[in-house]
Order: sequence, then C-alpha cells, then structure tokens
Amino acid sequence: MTTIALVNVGYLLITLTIGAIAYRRRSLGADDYFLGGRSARTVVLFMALFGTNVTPFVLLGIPGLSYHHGIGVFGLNAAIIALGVPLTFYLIGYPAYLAARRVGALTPAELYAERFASPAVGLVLFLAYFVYTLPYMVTAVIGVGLSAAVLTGGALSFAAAAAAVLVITLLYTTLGGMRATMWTNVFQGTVFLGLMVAATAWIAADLGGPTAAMERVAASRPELLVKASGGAMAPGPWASWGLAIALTVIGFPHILVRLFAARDATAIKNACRLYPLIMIVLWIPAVLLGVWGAIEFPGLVAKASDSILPMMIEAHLPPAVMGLALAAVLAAVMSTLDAQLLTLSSMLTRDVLGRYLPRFTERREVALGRAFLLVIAVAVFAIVMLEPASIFEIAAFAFSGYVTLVPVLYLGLRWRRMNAAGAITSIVAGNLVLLLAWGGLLPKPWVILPVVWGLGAAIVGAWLGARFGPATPEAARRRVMGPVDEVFAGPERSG
Amino acid sequence: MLVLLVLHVDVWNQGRGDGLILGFIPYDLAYHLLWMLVAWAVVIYMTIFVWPDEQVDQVDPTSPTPENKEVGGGAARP
Repeated sequence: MTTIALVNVGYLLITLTIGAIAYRRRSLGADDYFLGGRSARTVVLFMALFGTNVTPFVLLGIPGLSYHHGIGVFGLNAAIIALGVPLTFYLIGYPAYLAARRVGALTPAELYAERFASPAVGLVLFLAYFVYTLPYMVTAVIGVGLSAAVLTGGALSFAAAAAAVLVITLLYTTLGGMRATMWTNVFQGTVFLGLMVAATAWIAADLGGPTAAMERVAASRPELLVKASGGAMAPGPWASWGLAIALTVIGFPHILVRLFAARDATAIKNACRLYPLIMIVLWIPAVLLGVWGAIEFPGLVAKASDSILPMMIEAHLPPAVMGLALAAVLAAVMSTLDAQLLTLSSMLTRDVLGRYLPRFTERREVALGRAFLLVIAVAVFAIVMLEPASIFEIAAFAFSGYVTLVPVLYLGLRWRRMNAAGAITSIVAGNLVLLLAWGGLLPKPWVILPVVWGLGAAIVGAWLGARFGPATPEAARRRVMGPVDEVFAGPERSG
Repeated sequence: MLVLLVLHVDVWNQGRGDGLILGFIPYDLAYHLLWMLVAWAVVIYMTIFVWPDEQVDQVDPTSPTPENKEVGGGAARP
C-alpha cells in the first residue's frame, strides 16, 4: 500500500509541477488561457489529442467489453477509429482550425455562432455539448474510483479517489489553462501508454508467454478468439457502432478546441499520421488483457468486468507497478477531464454569459471560467456517486449524442447555403430522434443502433432548415468560410 | 475508401476460427491489424497528396489582420 501511495504521490507531484511551470509561462489574455496561445507543435498537439481522447473507456471499458465479447472488440472499435479520426480531422478539424484562427474564436460554439451570425446557434451547441460531456466525464471519474478500490485493496475508497482526482485536476487546470493541460498531457499520455504496453508484456510472461496465454483461451473459451455472429458483432450493430465511434471524436468539443490550438497545418497532419499507429499500440493490450482476464477471473457479470484490468494487474504485478497502473488510470482520466472542464467552462463564459450578460473584460472572463470549473466538478462528483451504468454504456450514450452534431460541424464550414435555422433544426431533430430511438420507440431494421437514427435526423434537419430558413448574411459567412474556401478551392472561388 | 469501409464490415469472418497465426495471434485480430495498416497508408497518402496547405498569411496567429485583432468580438456578438 505504501509503495502504491508513494508512486502515485510522485505522479501527482510531477503533474502539478508541470501545471505550475505552465502557469508561470502564461500571459493574461483569454487566447493564452483557453488555447495556449495557439502554439502547439506536432509532439505536444499529438499527445494532447491522444491524451485527451484516451479515457477509462479504453483502459477499463474495453478490457471489460473484451472480457465478455472477446477479440472481436478490437475490430469493432480500434480499426475504424484509426481511419475515422484522421479523416474527420481533414474534413472538419482542419477547416475549423483555419476559420477559428482567422476570426479569433476560442470555442466551437463561438466559431459556429460567428459563422451563422447567430448567438442562438452557440447556445444550442453549448447545451448539446454540456448534456453529452457531463456523462462522458462521469465515466472517467468512475474509472479512477474502480481502479483505486481494487489496487489499494479498499484502503482508498471509490468516493475518496473520485474526489481526489477532481480536486487535483481542478487545481492545475484552473491555474494553468490550456498550456498546462497540453503539457501535462504529454507526460500523462506517456505514462498510460507505457504502462499498458509494459503490463501486457509482463502479464504475458507471467502466463508463460503469449502463445501459452492464447492457448489457454483457445482451450477453455475458444469463442473469445473468434468474431461472434450475433449481438454487438452482427452486421447492423457492427456497422452502426463503427459509424458512431469513427465520427464521435471530432464531435468532442475538447478535441476540436485542441485542434484550434495547433501552431500550423503540419502539426495537424503529423498528428493524423501518428494516430493509426498509436491506436494499434494502445488497443491491443487493452483487448488482450480483457480476454486473458476472462480465463483467470471467470464469472464477472455485466459492469463488474470494468474492473478486470486492475484485477489482472493486482494478480500479476509487483506493488510498484500496481502503483504505476493506478497512476496510468489517473493520467488517462486527468488528461481528458482537464480538457473537458476547460472547454465547457470557456463555452459557458464566452458563448452564453458573455453574449447574454453585460460584456466582460478578458480577466473577468477567465475568473468566471475558473468558478464554473468548480461547479462542473461538483456536478460530476454527484453523478459518479450514483454509478448509473457501466463505463461502456455511459460512453455509448455520450458518443451517440456527439455524432448528431457532426452534420452541423461539417456543413457549417463546407456548405455555403447552411444557415442558423439549418444548424438549430439539425441539432434539435437529431437529438429528439436519438432520444426516441434510445427509448425503443423507433424500429430497428438490421438491429441498427440509435445513433443511425440520430445522425439521419440531423442530416435531414440541416437540409430542411437550410432550405426554408433565411440565409446567413454574406459578410458573416465569408468572414468564417473565407479562409476555408481559399485553402480548399483557391482564392478565386472564395471571393 | 469505400473498399476499406466494406472490408471493415467483414461479415464473412463471423465465426471463423482458423487457429492462431504464428501461434498467438487470433485470425480476427490479424485481419483488423492488416486493415489498419492499409488505412494508415491511405492516411499517409491523404496528408501528402490530398490535404491542401494553409496560405502563408494564415500561419501566424499574431499577424495584425483586422480579423484576429478582434478576438472573440465578432459579428454575432451583441
């Protein structure tokens, strides 16, 4: 227990030190606090995107899912993300980066409010982001609670661990803003990636090598080594989940904001080139540990399998590495939580309060952003204490919601006729229909998942709104889309 | 791209065992690893040959253009 505590205190001290250094390097403007001065080069940008994107959904939820469904979980998730993330960064992320840079937007809601000359679009977008980001943050904190409870043998309770991670993340995020979160992400990403690879190699060796470990699975649970014919692996759910997981990442506001912080196009392109490779390195260990865990700890039911990774580590690794494992989960959680907290607070202060209340100075804006961080953290903690569902189930709900925003994010920057009515109709229709589908009120041909309904309704809503709503003033459209048109179509078509 | 998407929904691999490749890699894992490597090649091609670079005057956010002087204070603000 002492060793585990020491390793984690060391990890937290390093994280806070990085946050403090970033704090000393800050300037006072909102641009610096919320976007780190838009100066992230390849390594920092890539690790910030990677660290932000990886949560306990991967470190705990995927081993938990593989425990039940076997090796097919890799193809179901990792493969399509490896293509979906770079593709959506090209189609949406890069145009958003170009436009945000030109108009000085700090948040996605701000960018699209400018594009449509409509504060209402910013408000609706903020509400949608808020509704889906809160449960996604909950999955992260649940992950810390579960890991701490298993790895410390109950010495650190679920509630204490959840509260501690929220407090520490608040500390360095509040002080250092985006620069702190991006710098700490480099360290945190290294910690959890290194741990996953090292732990898998160690556990495989402890099981007699990868061949022996796989032969044990083949002998007692051969179905775990085969893509199943039904359930989540049937063609309908498989294809619709692929759609969700491929499109959802660009729908995360905290990812889009990270792209705003890029120094140049080269940094974004390099991040795309590295993404598929890092997916392989991280996801293979996550799936293998779940499959091997099914043999070693049979009988876990439903969300109990979320604890299989810490259980495997606790069974096979020495205390120092167990400490590192907990630090790795903390790293994965904090690297996402900080970005989510910062993005939500920046949208509330700039896109809601900043527009509807008397105008703030930049200093007051930052101060208000910090206060809102605290409010969000308390709300997350309250929901975590309810432990509403498994990590995968909560994440699936959030991911589906983010996908309904993708038509607006894409069409807003690439379709001249898209307007405020189209954006609002798309978001409202997409989410209403998604809700109906989640409630089982819509048919499920080929057993498709609710996300397909939500995405379809969002596309139809965008078209209807654009067809019948008033056009965006040309000056506002050109102000935001101008740099995108210049790059993608050349200056002669942009004017 | 379309071919990759079709190959991703690999209904023909459902229930297919085929033992362990090299003694420890399940067939389904090997299939999707290969798929990811092809996808990676597509991404490399896209970033080199398809993805347009930004204009030189868009690289520096501190350049004194009228637009980025007006941080956060754009047209939609009241």
